[in-house]
Amino acid sequence: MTDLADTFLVHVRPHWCGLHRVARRYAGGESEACDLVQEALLRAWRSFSAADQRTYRRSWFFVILRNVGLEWQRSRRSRSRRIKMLPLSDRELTDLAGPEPTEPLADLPGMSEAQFTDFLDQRIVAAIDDLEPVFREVLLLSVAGELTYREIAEVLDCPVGTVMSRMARARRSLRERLADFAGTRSAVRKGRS
Amino acid sequence: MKCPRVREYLFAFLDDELDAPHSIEVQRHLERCPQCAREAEIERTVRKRLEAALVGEGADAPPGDEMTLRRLLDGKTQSTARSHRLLRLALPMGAAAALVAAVIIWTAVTDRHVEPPPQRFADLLVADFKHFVGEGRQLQFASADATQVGRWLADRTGLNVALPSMQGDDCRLLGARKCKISKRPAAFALYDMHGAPVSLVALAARPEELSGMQEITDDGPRRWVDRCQGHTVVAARRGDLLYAAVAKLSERELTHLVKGVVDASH
Repeated sequence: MTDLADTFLVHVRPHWCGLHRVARRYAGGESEACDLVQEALLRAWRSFSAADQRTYRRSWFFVILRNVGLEWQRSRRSRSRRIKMLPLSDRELTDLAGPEPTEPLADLPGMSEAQFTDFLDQRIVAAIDDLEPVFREVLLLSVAGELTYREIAEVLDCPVGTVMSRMARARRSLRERLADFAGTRSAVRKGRS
Repeated sequence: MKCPRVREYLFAFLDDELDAPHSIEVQRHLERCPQCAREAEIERTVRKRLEAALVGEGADAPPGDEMTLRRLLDGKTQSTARSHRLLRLALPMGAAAALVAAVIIWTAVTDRHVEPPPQRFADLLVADFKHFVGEGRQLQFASADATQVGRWLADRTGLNVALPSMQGDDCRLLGARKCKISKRPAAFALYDMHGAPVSLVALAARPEELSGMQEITDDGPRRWVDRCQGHTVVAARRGDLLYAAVAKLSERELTHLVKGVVDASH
């Protein structure tokens, strides 16, 4: 094993699990996720220089992972229900926006803590899968990838304020999906049908 | 700050991504508004269950996966990695998997077994320090009051943190953030010592993590010292917590801070 490869893996190792968690949602299965991560890391390896270590932040690896995932999806035209990454503009995002960020959040039924936890455990994956891809992705990068807003901004190549806005919309949309599942969402509500 | 404004900042606040002044305003509002406090609690629970769902499913990378990557890197220059990439893209997925399997079998037969080197505890601490300081990130809670900062950290991390105030020394507390070290919740306090940033990280102690560090018992508190990437790490135990100071300063200077931890009262 070369010293440079050792150094490269020292940089990779802290993000290894996060990259796999995100790749599992980008790809169609476990083996594809492994291939996606390996392809991304081989690409990162090509550009790696031990003399410039400060550049190799966590977001750099996720940018490459995302780019490889986009290429794969375009070339293979996956029909998977996994995340489809669409480079939406913010103007297009406006059309997807639901309630204003200052409005109250969707109601959820009164439940005990245990009941609420059970309800979430049963429904939350379906709720996140039902989100618009651009909202689902920002949640995925934050929760599964454990990226900060600033790092997500680097991965998505947008301002941090945009990430903050998308995250708020993603969480509101998730709340609305959960309220739909719980049957408590008001039929009279502005914005989304 | 009124309820609509709090709703606008709520998710960034819960994700610890809000700057300190707004965080304080949101926190004060939640302390006096039961409705917003309830919403915050609901969203904290939603986030936790989301983490459990997304992170919990196969939380670790598949075993042997890193070994596969190491073998692919082993002996490959960065230019031959490009050739490998072109070959991988040209092959159908099944044939590519067979190729990788063949590489694994071939290298298992011809190469000696190489275990990946375990990551030193000091490496993890220094990486986190460089990640925070090097990127000029903001603290999540800004205050020079060691008691207040300790309470904020205890609330966020569940760790019974006691911080030294260092009053009268050329060292002042700036604030704190919560973070994770080796997937464990950790409390990160930032000090300014002679104009240099110093982190003081507290987390649940694991004795095996200190085994790679040099133990010092002859002068001052019992402590462990390591050096990594131009940084000094000095660690000491207090109760069931390990406190580790990290900076580009001398061992003597960091020992002074760590001694303050050992002497600090709750």
